[in-house]
Amino acid sequence: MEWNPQTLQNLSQCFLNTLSPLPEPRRAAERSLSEASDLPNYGLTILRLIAEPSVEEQTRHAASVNFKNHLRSRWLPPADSSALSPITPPEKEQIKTLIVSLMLSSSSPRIQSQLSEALAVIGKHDFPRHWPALLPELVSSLQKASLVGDYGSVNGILGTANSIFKKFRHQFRTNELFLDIKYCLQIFTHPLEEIFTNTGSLINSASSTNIKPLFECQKLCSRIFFSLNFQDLPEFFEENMEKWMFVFNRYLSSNFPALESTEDGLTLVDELRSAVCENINLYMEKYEEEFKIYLEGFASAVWTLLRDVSKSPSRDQLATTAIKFLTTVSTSAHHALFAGENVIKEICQSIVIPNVSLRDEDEELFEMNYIEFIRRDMEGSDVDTRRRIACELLKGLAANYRGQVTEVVSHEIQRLLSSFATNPGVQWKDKDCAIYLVVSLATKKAGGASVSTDLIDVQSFFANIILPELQSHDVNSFPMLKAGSLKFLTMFRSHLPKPFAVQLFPELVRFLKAESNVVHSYAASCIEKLLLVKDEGGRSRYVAGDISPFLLQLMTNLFDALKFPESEENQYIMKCIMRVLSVAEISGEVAGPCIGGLTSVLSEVCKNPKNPTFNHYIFESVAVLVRRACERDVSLISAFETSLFPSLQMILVNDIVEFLPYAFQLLAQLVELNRPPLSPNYMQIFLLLLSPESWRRSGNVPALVRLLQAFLQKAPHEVTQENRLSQVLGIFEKLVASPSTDEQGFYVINTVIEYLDYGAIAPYMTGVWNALFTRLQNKKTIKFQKSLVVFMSLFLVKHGHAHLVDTMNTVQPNIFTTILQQIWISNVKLIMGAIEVKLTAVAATRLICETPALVDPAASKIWGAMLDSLVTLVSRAEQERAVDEPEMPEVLENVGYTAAFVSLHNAGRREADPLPDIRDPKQFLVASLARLSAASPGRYPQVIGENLEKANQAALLQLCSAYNSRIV
Amino acid sequence: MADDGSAANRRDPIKSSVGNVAGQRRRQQAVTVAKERRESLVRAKRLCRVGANGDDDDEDPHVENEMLIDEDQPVLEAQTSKAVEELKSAVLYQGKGGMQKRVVALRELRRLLSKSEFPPIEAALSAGAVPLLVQCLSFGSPDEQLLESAWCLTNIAAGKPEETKALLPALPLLIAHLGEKSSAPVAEQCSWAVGNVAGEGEDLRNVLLSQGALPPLARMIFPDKGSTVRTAAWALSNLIKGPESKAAAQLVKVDGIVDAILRHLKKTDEEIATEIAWIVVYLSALSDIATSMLLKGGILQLLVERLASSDSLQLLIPVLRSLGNFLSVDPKAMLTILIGGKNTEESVIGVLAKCLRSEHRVLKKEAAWVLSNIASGSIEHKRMIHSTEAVPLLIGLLSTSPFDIRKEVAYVLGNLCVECAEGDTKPRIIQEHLISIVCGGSLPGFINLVRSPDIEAARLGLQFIELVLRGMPNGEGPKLVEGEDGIDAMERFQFHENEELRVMANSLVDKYFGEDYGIDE
Repeated sequence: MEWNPQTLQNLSQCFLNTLSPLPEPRRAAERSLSEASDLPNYGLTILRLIAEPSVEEQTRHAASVNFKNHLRSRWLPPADSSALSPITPPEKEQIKTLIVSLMLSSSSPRIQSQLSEALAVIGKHDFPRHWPALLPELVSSLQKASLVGDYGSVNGILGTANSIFKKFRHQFRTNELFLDIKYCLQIFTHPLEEIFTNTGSLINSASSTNIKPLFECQKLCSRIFFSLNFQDLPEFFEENMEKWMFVFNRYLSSNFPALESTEDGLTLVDELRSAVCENINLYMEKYEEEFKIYLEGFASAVWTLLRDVSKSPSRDQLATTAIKFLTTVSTSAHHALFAGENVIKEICQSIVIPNVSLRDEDEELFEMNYIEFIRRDMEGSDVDTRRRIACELLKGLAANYRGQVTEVVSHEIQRLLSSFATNPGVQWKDKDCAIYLVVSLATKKAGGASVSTDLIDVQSFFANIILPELQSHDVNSFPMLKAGSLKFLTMFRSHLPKPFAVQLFPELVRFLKAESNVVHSYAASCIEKLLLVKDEGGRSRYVAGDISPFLLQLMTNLFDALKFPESEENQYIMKCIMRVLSVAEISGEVAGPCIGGLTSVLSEVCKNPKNPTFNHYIFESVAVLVRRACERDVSLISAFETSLFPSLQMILVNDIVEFLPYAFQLLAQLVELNRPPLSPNYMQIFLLLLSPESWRRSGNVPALVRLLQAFLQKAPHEVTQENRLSQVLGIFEKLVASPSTDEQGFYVINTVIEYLDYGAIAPYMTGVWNALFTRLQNKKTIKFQKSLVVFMSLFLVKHGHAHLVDTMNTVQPNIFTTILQQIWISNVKLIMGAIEVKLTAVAATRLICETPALVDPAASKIWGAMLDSLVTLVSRAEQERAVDEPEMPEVLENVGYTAAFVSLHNAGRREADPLPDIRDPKQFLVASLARLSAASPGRYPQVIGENLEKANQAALLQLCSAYNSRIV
Repeated sequence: MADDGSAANRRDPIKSSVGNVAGQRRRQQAVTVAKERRESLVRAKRLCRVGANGDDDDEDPHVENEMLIDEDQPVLEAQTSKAVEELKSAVLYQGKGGMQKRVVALRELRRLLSKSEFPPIEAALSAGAVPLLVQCLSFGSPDEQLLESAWCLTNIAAGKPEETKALLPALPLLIAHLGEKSSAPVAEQCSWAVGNVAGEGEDLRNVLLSQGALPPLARMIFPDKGSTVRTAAWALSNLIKGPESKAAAQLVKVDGIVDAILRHLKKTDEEIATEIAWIVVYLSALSDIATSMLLKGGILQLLVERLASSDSLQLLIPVLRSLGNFLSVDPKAMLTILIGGKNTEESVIGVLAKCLRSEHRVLKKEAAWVLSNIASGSIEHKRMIHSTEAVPLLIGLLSTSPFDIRKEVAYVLGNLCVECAEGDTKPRIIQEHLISIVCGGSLPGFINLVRSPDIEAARLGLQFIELVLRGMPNGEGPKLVEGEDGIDAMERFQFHENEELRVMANSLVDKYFGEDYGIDE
């Protein structure tokens, strides 16, 4: 791409059009930009456009966003095989030379921040080794800018440095990493300290005007400090710790009224303070010994600060980082700082309780964004909430002062509850606070299935505090207390005696009708989790009979709850539907409305699939309903077909990518439940299945294979007509050729071997073997060899050794013996899985006892080797035999499809044992050997003695005596 | 390094996690950004306050007394400038008695540079001392003059980085006087100056190497005793300390060096042994050839004997670190320890336990690190450690000591619980050890590590939790872990930025504490 006025003009117009509200010009512009981005030097050209002062700012801003995204997708060659061409090395070099000065000279902060992000993208890959010029350039610009007091540039540079140093966090230590850090320390620490110290004195002396950028600068310095100190304590910072800590402490213990009087200003100072808290927390965690002399000063500064911050409704980030620091101290060797009289009480009252108390923000979130509220409240999302962190502090203190903490907290809980009792309508938040404390301070137990606590007596707390809420007639009153109580019940569910809980079920069903999204979600979630509670021994505590009295009401309320605004795709409700359907007694009376409800939801989401979790549970629900209803009454299948076909067809016809794998799995389930002959509807789908078009998307492959297997099993006759089998085998050949799909290929061919007559497959066997041997030659992974052994074994037990040997040898004379020696014998001992072990053991037994080529005395070495491997297989535990494949070269390909494919648990295939007549493969082995040896006495003991490992000889002897057989 | 397992970890985080890390021996990382702990005990640069020979001030009996007087720094600086001026005129002076004049002037300057903890180096440099001192080092000068100049340079080089760099013009002559032709005191003083320069940093080390400082310095440690050997050994250890390995590689090629090292370690002189042991530390960390030559020479036995017989902190640190290095590089070294003598390993572990009990953090940490390497050896080694008092000691340290020691201790305890026999692809849990270590009260300590921001420590904690979950009998594991609030600790990784840890923690929670997806299997 060449730089000239024409290009400038065209590109500018394009970028302007991308901002257009009209779809037509916008799409056209996006299209032509995406085409242009394949041209060489596209990135460089955009960069020049961004630098062109004559172009309007909004155009340049659009260009800078585009530039950043361009680098993101093309700086490195793409990991997948997508067609994006990477940026060439010469262009990269030029971009790297230009970008720093361009970013710094940019007059628009919006553009500057885009360029800074673009720079970080490059830094992530190239810095420092492939970009040695960057850091010196930043340092010299930093020094120039700071000399003239240009804090706009200073902060731009520090911001950039901050983003490129972030990669030093969260990595495992390696020499390479440390070399990189060392390099950065050498160049950057002195200038960093200089600017930090100078800015510190400026803040001290500065008049009230314009000190904001100075605080911004200190914040960035502190963040950089964090990155550079993350892995280890650098010598420089150890030597100069005093200077840094002195300034850090000042920011925690001083007030800056000039800034803090405005909301913006307070936020900025608090950001700096949070950064400081993170730094001292890091030092406390990792470099306690060197840091300890500063500890007391910081602890008291943070404590004082927190008393203030805890009262304030905003200031969340500072509150959480500061509390975290105190938590770290409380669990460290220096916890004695908290040992003084009343210290814990004081902390609890002035820090913990104020932070746990509900704030307006919490109420707002509860009402406006129930999903986020639940994520934070119930699911431990990545956002550290003040409430949770405050409880962490109590837990930390309890590590060394359990008695005191328990006493103080119990007392606080009582106080809160009596405050509530005096005027429930007004003081309801106190009760919420008490419930939150109890729930959060409990120790989590298995499965989140329960918790335990020594703060309160669970049973009486439940009866006196929680139960009244749950029995309240008005499901819509005080919704946050209802939610808290439901959460309590969920958390302590395994503590509740069954009769008690059974009485509560109808109350929970009632709460599904609550208008609050959180409340009906928690009610659904609670029911769902109760149904999973297990008693000792793993038996479910609640069974179908426990919910049958109100099952219809429950299902009605669940489907009705999906009609509340915002809850149309409520995953908690859908998950509950799935769970109930997998526990309840599914009579026709229940099945009808349920399938109706589910299909109407399904056809709705087909229009615009949004929430993958919700969608997954719909399909799971359908699958479990179909499965369990048909188990009771298979005649229901046609009713299900009638309901489901329209939705399934819509998915196939409209090619709804997200749902295709689910649709194929449901279809497979329906096919398996059908009795032949299959209706023409299905056969249409079968034809669709055979077209190569269907197999193009790798995400569909596992589900398609699953469906193909179902057809092969249920309609073998139809499959063999009109040359369809060769199409099936074509699919098999494609799949088996690649290590990422070979397993799927074997599923296909194994099903063919298992369910089709030999006459039908005989003509194709040469082709099958050819495909397998070609693959073996190209890529001989252990997984493939094991699959091949399973396949050959299946073939042998189904169609006999003669067919096996003959068809293999048509590919190449004597190849059977080669494969036997090189693949079969060495891999049979690695086979895993009960069905597979049995199959391969029986096949190998028949091989050595029936196949003339092996019974021949001339083959006694091979015979012995096979028996040796076979004895290993049957006599040793799986973990002793297992061999890990050294390296899976094509991991990436694999990742591609597993990410897209989600298996439906309830539509899973039942693995059938191909050898139902043989119960015990060991017995089969020794009996066959005994029979064989009886025919030529004296011969086999010698072969065994010469060819089997000592341990295996002993194991074989033991097997013989166990089954009362003898090898003579 | 951690890279070994990363591909496998992606495939199956749980299975491979334990074998790849807990069972691994670890060499001390060659690249560090942290302060070298050695310096807090033995400085990389040393001021020469009393003559190298300790007895050269016979003609100036008040020196000792005078040193106690706290002269004002400005006075000292003025005197120094004046002394340099004197030296200048002495050097210019061509007449009779010139040599005597120079020596007197040099001695005065040296006296001023030696009398305080904070010598007036800046004053000397700005008065132009270095070119004059270089001139005084010229070939053929009398020993006394050489000695005094080298001494001045030694103390200048003990200063700040830029002051050390000021010695650059003097280096060729200082190195030249290291040779066999020089008298022992002169060679020693020159090696001291060179040692200070080498202690400054990699750049100056490279200059010294390119000017050929290493071979003569190496030969200076051949004699059996004397302060010369000690000083030269110290300088040599500064010169080879890396992180680049070329100096170490060059040193092994010097004929007779390995013998000399072994000989000094055998002798009783602890001070020399200390400096020699530091040479061994760097050799064993940086050169595989040196490592195998020293092992062949039987160094392990010597190190173990030193550990048993010495109480000197200065000596124990490098000896421990060398021992750990050898054990981390060469599995056969373990075997040597095992066969080396009936009860040797008991005494090794006994001595390491002694270090663990010491008040010194560095000693504790090094001892734990060595133990972690022994603990990753054969089952016999694991049993050996497990049967001693070291285990309760370690469990105690896991809950009470500073972070860096806790982390090392966790490696030891983790290694004791898994066996990774030759040819095995998956480590087996040694249940007996696991049970006793868990029952000894180690689980809270490991769970605490999971909460640490340190990535390695967190991984170690997770790996141990995995062992507990999988390996404690009667399915007790999950109950123990949940009792110590381990679920909560693991759930913190739900959204962690480090993928490996995130996957590990999430799959552990899913596998052992997850709810059954289906209900009726």
